Amino acid sequence: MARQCDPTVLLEFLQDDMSPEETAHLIEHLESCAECRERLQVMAGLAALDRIEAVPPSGASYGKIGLLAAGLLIALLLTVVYREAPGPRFSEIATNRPFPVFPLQTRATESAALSNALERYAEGGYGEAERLLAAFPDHPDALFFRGVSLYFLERFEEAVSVLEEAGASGGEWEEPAAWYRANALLRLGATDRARQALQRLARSPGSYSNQAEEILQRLAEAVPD
Amino acid sequence: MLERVWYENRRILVGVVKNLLPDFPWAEDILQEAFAKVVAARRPFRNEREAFNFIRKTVVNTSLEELRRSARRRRLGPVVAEWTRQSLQTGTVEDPLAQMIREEEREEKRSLINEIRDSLAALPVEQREAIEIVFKRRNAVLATCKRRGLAYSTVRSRMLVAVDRIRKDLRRRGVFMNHGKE
Repeated sequence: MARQCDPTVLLEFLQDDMSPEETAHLIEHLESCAECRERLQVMAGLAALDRIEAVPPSGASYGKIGLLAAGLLIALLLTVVYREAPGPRFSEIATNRPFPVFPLQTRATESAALSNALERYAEGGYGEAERLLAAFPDHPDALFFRGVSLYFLERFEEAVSVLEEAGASGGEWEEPAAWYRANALLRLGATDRARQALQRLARSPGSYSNQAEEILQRLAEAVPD
Repeated sequence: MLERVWYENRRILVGVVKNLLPDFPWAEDILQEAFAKVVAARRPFRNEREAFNFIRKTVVNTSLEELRRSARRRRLGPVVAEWTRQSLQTGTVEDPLAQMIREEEREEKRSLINEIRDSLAALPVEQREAIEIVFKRRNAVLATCKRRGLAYSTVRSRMLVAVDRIRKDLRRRGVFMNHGKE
């Protein structure tokens, strides 16, 4: 029985070849061993997961020189960040409210893949959403939501570029894209460009006028002109 | 040969599905689906063992697909329920759609795959890495280990420790409590 409790057999069961006799023995063992049954279910669940969050590669492969270089790079970056970082915390000023996806759900169902991507976005799975939306470079909805996903992934430079594209086509995304783009610029510390974009929004009669005004006010307090 | 191997080992195949999906009452449906795939594949086999392995893998994969589907279902539930609640305004009218969605939400919360995802997130980085290598790089496990400077034996033992930690976490959270008839 102790030999049967070998969890590597469970992995073989899921991934490798196994004869009818071996399978029958395993099934018989599973009937009487709750731990192995649970282990198998955990392994099955892990195998069924669409994606396991990427983890940084182990440091074991880098060696001493690599680690030294990484340490020097971090020290250098910290120096630059401390010298260049703008005073106020732009993350506290910029929006952290995602654009609601619900109004789209009834119509943006041209394809199951796009619908799936928007579901990920609605759940807050911005990494997965961004990856899936990138497959629709010409779709205005996909462009906009990809830009917002990049914003919440804190990939602000990419967000600015994608939102610029989303807003350039005009139409309904022009204003929300300009809003998130302005916030992304703010998070990048590009205060002048952010201010210009926010002023345009504040002057427009659209739904972001008040919010843009509010951020401009807070920005003026934090970083006077 | 394929049909004979299937029927001769049917009891084992039912056991495969029931052990992979203990909370799913539709083991028979999964077997039917797997059988249809096996037949549709029209593959030649040299011997019965090869045929059995193909059948067994198809049954395992069909079960895993069902596990995936169960977690993917109804993700729009909360959004639509909120919209329904808002559109009804008063909240005094019980909308059958909202009721159905609430039921589905409760079921989704019980989905094993979502529980596993939560437990996985709490694991140390090296254990998650081991799981990622073993389960998501199935055809390149050794190459990935080599590239990352890890011994396969280390990765495997980390993965097994991680699986046990997830199992214990699921027990602690009451997910596995109905299966513990040791």
